[in-house]
Amino acid sequence: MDLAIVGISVLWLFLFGYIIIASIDFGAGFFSAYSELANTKHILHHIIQRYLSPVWEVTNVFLVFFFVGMVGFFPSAAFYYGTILLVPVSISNVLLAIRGSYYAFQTYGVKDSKIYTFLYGVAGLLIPASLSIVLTISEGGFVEMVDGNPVLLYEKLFFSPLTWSIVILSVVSVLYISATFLTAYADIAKDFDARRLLRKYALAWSGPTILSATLIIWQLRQHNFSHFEKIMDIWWIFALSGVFFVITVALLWMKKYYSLAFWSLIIQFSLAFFGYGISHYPYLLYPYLTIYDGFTNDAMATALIIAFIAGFALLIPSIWLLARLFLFNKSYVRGEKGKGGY
Amino acid sequence: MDHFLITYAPFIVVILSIIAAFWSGLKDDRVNR
Repeated sequence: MDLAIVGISVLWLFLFGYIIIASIDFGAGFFSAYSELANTKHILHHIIQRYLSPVWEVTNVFLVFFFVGMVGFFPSAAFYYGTILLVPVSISNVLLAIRGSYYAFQTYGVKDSKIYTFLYGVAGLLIPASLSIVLTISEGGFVEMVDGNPVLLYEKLFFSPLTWSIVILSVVSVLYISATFLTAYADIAKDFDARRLLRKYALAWSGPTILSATLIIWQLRQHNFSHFEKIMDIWWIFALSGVFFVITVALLWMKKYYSLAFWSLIIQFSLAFFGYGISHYPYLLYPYLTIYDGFTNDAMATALIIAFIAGFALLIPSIWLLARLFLFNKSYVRGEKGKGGY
Repeated sequence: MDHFLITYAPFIVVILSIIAAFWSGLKDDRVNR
């Protein structure tokens, strides 16, 4: 196994961590805003406010790690993507800033503003949608070289069915991942009213998630046939992912083992995500850039891998501690004062 | 025409499932009021 594969695998792992943790966070923000509009705040408010906290801005560390790693390992990726992502990722950055600031205003501000809640709820759905554009662009066909510089074909990108199928998956999977997690969370907190409602949301969003994932593979067949063929070569990974999807839905349906249902969901998404990554190999951007084009020198790559593993060794215990002290501290989750967790 | 159907017909299925998801959530939420 060469360093380029180790590098991209480590980065893909960070990106997966970001997708799961950020999805839970974004979805919880949306459900919080939705409960204001649907008059279910009295049911969901307690559990979501226990979970939502500006502390979770720590998830952005995963995203920063990914970007820094991409530039460090693959300097030529910065040349291609740095130019063409200027507008799409700037939109994501503005949305992240809006969400982060309204998050803080809502949490620490004096008045309970519906507008603040609505803004960070909606921004939380638009951020994954705007970031997912990167995956669409990587499939090729949306970038043209003009005088040696990459130019993004905005109109083609906007009207591509592939773009919208990936955007749909990014939004519905955020709701599905988040609702499943919060169902398990409400179960731990023994908040049965919230659990009943969130379980219903999780089951409702499971259908659109699996259908839109299938739609992407179908659209890839039209858009990038060689990638579609590679996906078919490792069909068993996606089939296994489908099995874990069925396990999650079955456990939710039977109202049993909610935590196990969430772990099954993690396995489902990790199989699909790594299956997608493997089938994308070796391209970072069809057809211009592979992981071997302009890969950094061996000394830099080795140093980066060591630094990333050290960063991972620091980040994972930090998140674990956050989770133990707040998220899964049963007395904290149930809101019992004076029994630890404060 | 065939290409149009092959490309866009699956979208209709996905969008219908999203409408169904929202509708089932809203229906339940009305009961909660």
